[in-house]
Amino acid sequence: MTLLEYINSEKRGFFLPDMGTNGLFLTRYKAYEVYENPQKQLQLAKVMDETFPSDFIYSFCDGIIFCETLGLEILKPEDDFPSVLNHPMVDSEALKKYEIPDPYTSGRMPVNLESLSLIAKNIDKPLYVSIQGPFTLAVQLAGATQLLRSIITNPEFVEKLLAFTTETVRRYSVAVNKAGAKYISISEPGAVTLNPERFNKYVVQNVEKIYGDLTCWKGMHICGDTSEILDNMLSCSLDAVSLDQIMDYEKIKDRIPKEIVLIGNLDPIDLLGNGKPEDIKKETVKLMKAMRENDNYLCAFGCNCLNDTPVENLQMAIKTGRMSYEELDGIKS
Amino acid sequence: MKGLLKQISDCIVHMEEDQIENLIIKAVNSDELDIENIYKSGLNDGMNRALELFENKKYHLPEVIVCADTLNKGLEVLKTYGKINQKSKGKIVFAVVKGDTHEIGKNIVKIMLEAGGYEVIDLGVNREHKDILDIALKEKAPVIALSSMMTTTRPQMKKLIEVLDDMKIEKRPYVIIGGGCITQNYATQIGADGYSENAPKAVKLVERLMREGK
Repeated sequence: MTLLEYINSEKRGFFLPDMGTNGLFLTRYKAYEVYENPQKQLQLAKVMDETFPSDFIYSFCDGIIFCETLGLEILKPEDDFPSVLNHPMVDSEALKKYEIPDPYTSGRMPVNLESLSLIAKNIDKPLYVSIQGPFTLAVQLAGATQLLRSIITNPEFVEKLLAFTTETVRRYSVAVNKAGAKYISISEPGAVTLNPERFNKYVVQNVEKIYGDLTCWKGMHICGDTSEILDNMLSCSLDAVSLDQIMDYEKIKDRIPKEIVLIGNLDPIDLLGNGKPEDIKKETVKLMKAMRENDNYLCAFGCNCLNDTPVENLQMAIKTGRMSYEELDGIKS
Repeated sequence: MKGLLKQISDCIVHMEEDQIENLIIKAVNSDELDIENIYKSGLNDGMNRALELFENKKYHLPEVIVCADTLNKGLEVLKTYGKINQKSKGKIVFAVVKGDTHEIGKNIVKIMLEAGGYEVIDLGVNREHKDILDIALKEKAPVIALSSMMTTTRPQMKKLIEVLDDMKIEKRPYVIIGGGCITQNYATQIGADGYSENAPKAVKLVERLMREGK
């Protein structure tokens, strides 16, 4: 079954949540308690599935897995996602000091794979996993300013670094796929800094090497204004594309090929984070109606929701996004 | 000698970092050019031309960064010959808030502010709001610029503004915010004095605040 077939398998909307660390507050676990314990990952997934029933299941997002495994200094808040504190791969000499991780033996990667496998076996929904893309990983490793500078001053280093990150992401993604992931989304927010020509060179070519080895549904997410690079994103061999809440879906929906699913893009900040349930229902209905004639639309947030998003707000968004078409069509605009 | 100033300006635009030092030395050794003129009509002119290319989408972030590198290298050389008496339009203390380590937005805005004539005190990333305030007040900076790319760290901006407001300072610095998760609504909600969605608009925002106030 393709992703497109899945989201059209019932006469209703489908919803894919992109959660923050909300699950930590529901379970009172700390971030690394979950990361390091497959059973707690499963428990958190079950709590999230019960509290926010949707059409996918997911683990507690681990966007730091590559940098942590490679030994970068990490800021580790108890109730928030970790982030890198240093960017040591500034040139080719520095890059030589690092080896591509083995997902079955390196760092926490084996634990993550066990967690994903456990979730896939215990919750009967497509397992969704967001994985950092090779360009964004390169941004983390070299620092955004240094990487962008090197595009001009040291292109050979950039190519070497991206070869390293592409292989790192590819190996892990293949392992995640085998662990039970049904939908893998490559997240490339760092790529919004590129123009279309460079996006083709530094993103498309490398992401294709990853997609080519995956047997699951494949997607891409980029934050920010992606108007200029959208066609480049769509040139990848993907099943779905996810865009930021600042993008106007009514304007861009006609640019999306019929066979590619457009995912998004409820505002996770102003609407879900600060709005009232009744406003959320209204805006979600508005979006659903705007996309009603497009059978390649999957309702979702525009990006991660705020960690402290009210539970009832998330529930309203998801419930409304999964509304039956009969009910939706009965609502007057 | 206008040709030499044009060469310096072109050197910035063309990102010829390896040539800027020689050009600056040649200009300084020319009896017809003073330090201020070399800076204004050579170095700064080049950077402004580069930023114009950026706004016209002929240059992109990589080019802007390398142009700025070339400018900064030229400045380092020029400063060894004496003080540049170019009057700053004002001090701006700039930081990425606690818990956030994303640097690129701050760095690009900094480049543009400096090209616009402002002195930017760059505090880097992952900075406590109290530290940011302490330095801003010590430096008597009229503007504090904050960046947050993560939805989970932006509450630090609100904390800073709350603490600043509680101080009841006569000449309270303006606080402007930006970043991937920041919106005008959020800026209004937390009492920020301004919000910018991109780097060029950030410069215009600072200019307006300095000229007209909130």
